[in-house]
Amino acid sequence: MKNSYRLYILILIVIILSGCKKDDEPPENQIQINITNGVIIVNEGLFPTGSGTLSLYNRLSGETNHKIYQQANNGKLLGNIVQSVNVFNNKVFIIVNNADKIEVAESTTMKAIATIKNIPYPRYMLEIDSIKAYITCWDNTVKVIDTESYDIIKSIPVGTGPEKLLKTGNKVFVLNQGGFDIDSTITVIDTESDEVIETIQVFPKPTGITTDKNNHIWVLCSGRGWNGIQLQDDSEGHLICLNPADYSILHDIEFPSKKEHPVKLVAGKDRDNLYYYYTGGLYRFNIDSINISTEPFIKRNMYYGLGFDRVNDLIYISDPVDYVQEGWVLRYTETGTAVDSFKVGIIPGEFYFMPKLY
Amino acid sequence: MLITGLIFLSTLMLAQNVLNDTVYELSQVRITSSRLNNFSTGLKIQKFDSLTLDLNKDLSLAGLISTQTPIYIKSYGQGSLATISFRGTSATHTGIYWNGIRLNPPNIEMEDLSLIPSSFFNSVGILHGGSGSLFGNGNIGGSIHLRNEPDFRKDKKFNIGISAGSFQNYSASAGYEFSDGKWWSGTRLIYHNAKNDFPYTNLEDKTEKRQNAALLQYGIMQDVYRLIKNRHLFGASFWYQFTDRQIPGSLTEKQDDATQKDESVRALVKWKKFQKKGYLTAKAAFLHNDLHYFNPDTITVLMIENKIKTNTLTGEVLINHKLNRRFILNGGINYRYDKCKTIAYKEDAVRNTIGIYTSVLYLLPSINWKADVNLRQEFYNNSWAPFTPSFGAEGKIWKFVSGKINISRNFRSPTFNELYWYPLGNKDLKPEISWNEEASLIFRLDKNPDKFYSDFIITGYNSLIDNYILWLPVTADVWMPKNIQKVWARGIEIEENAKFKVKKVNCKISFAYTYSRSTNREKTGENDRSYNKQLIYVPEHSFSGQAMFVFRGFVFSYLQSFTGERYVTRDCSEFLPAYNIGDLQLSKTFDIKMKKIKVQFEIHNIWDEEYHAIQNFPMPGRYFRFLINFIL
Repeated sequence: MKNSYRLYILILIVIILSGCKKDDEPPENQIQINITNGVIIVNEGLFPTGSGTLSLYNRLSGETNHKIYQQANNGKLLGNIVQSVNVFNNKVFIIVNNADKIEVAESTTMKAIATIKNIPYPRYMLEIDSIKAYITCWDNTVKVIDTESYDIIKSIPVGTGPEKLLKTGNKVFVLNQGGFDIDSTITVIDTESDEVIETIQVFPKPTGITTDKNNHIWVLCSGRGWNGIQLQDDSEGHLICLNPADYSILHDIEFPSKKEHPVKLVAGKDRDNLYYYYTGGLYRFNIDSINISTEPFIKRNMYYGLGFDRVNDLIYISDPVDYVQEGWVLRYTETGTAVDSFKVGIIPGEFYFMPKLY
Repeated sequence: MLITGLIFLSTLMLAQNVLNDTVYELSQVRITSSRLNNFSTGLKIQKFDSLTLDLNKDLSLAGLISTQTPIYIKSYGQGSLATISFRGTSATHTGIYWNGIRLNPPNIEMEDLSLIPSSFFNSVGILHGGSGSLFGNGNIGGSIHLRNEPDFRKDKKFNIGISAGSFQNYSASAGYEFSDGKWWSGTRLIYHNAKNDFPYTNLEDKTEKRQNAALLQYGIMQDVYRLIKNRHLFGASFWYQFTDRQIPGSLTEKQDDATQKDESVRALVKWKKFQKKGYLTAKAAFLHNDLHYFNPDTITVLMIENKIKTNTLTGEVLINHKLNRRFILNGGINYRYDKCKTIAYKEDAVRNTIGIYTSVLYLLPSINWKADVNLRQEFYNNSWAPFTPSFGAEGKIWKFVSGKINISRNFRSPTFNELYWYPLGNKDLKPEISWNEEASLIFRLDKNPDKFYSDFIITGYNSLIDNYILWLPVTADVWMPKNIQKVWARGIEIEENAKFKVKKVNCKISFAYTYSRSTNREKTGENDRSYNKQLIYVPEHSFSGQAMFVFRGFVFSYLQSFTGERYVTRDCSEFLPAYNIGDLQLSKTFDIKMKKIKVQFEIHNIWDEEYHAIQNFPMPGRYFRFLINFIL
């Protein structure tokens, strides 16, 4: 019996003292990142603890590189939530909204150059000229920044929760989506003077904006409310066509249901077909018709980001699955045929197609 | 080299007379025999001994459990929210009981263990596994039982302690216990003030100090018991606590200035009547929690203020009766009224619960076995809760080997938030239902406990939780709780507790290892890759070990814990690295006349491990604490 005690204590002590040693993490493969002819997928990342990531899809090889920013910068995280990117002047501007910052990286290597801090809840960025850029911010302003010095030149007050912006001529149209609140206006800013020149009253929650072949502007107003729940003051969505010269509403197409809200808006190859999400999937709207379709063009239950690649004329749909795992990108032709799908990062929200074609 | 040294050391140890001493838990006669002790046949119960509780007085319950057991504590940082993940389940599946009263607030059904001071209790027990048949709703992973057991030996004890630690961490505690044989009174006070501005590495790989993590806490607990002619025991307990905390965000967010105030009032009265063949207990309790969260964001739409008030009234009557040599019967009825008021609900949420339960314990003294059957039916808000039966048996198998088995059905009803959070709450949610099975083998060497005592326990458990509730997006805008997952949680727990004496040194060596596999068995959509994957924030491997030596008023204790990788995404594509934490405690008690002064020094996270228990929420590296305790 005594021997068994001895063995016992020995085993005990060995177990206690041996502990566990942490393995050193293997160094991440340094790959050559070349975004000049790829598609950047902006993955928002886990909310609120995670970090967003960028995936890069290579059209030629069909391969996807994950976490390209981390790879190029020794694992450095971007932060939470990565909302959008813009590429110009050989720089990638990565907008990290919940971290109040914009990370700037070299466009050829993705190496970090700078961090623009203290931008209040930035959403989208648009280049105005070789130096100047506009950023929509949830403190209800558009910040004008110098992309060389990274200084804020000016802060232009706009409506509530400004989101997407679009430039045509020397005018920028800012969609005041309302944030967690509600707004139903578009602010027009003159790019020479950086002054507000008009506030256009539209319908609640303008979320999508694009131009058509006639150089008219189409705006998708989602309507008051949220998809998935029904509240008493829900209102129907509207797809409207604006004349950018005199801001007159040329067309106003009302959606049939107050319960469902259309979201996202992109224009197809010839800018005569518009695509947006609505009940049960992706819908197509031809600008020469007056009616909206009652059946989805591509049926899908889960969708989030929407893009149109003008290099090979494909529709990009993202599937965030359950927002707590890696999402997917699905590609379709303009005839509605599925091309392929590939896995990306967590909550793929936006696409950025290189090179930039209008 | 090390091995030979160990053999030498162990030989040396065994050459000595191993004696039972202070390291052992004194098994005092408990006037408060409870269902936890008597009718949990087949389940694993773990109790912290008085020395462990005394050494860790300064810690919260979260700190006590995370250092002393392999149970995973999800901590958002020093002084921040800490919840428990027990046997591969979530915090809503573990009931926290104070003198038999469930503390979990009805809005979230999870208790913040960082707010509960360990020094407030003289008995902390952990019941592993499903105990819905005994305690009702929400005990699928396990349950934790906090008590102050009255001691009617004539005595007076007064102690006062102060401590100071790294990151401007200061605390003070005082306790007074008194008994004249008829009355017993226990008073406990705590005060805690901490800045928690520990250094950590930010996303830019630079060291900076944690901001907005300060904490102020104070509380009092008062127990009064009266024993009349050894037949009636009356008791009343009161517990008030206030905490004002800053709530730091994750490293990936901008740092904001959120704060949270938690105020709670808990009161309890009980009466126990001892009869010839059993006892009768009646008790009633009132629980009040007041939470005020405020995030003063400069951006108006992001400014969040939420006030949550919960009130609970509960009463219970139970009878315990020894029928004969073989049978002990137990039965009772429990009523509970829960109410929660918050602007997040359209109207106040209310739940009335009635629980009826009965137990039969069958003793087989001739072969040293016992078995019990427990049945419980709850009825809440005009609907029947799932019926929860259980069966357990335990006893001697062979010489020093004994065994336990238990099988039970358990449930968790949806929380108020899951049901009523406007407009996302889902009123159609069904309760989660589980079947739990477990078996243990215990190898106990206590033939000569004066020399050597050892307990080696190996437990296997298996449970299947159906209707598992998850918040998942319905659309990009709207997340809703749904009965969407089916979870299969199973695992193995191995633990060893050994106590022996080397010369005049009392030694305690213990370790516990847990393998916990908890997987999702339901697919949510075509691209869902979560099927058969480990649940998020459930480590597969965890370990804790302790070596403690007591000699002439000196206590030396070293604790080592290991927490394995935890996935943070449902498809297991991202995980948090494993971490190893070592803690060292040294204390010396000086006897001066009838008074005692205890001086204690602690080094926490001695190997300076950089780790996150929750993704991107930094935890402190190596830090120190110094305590002085006067026992008068």
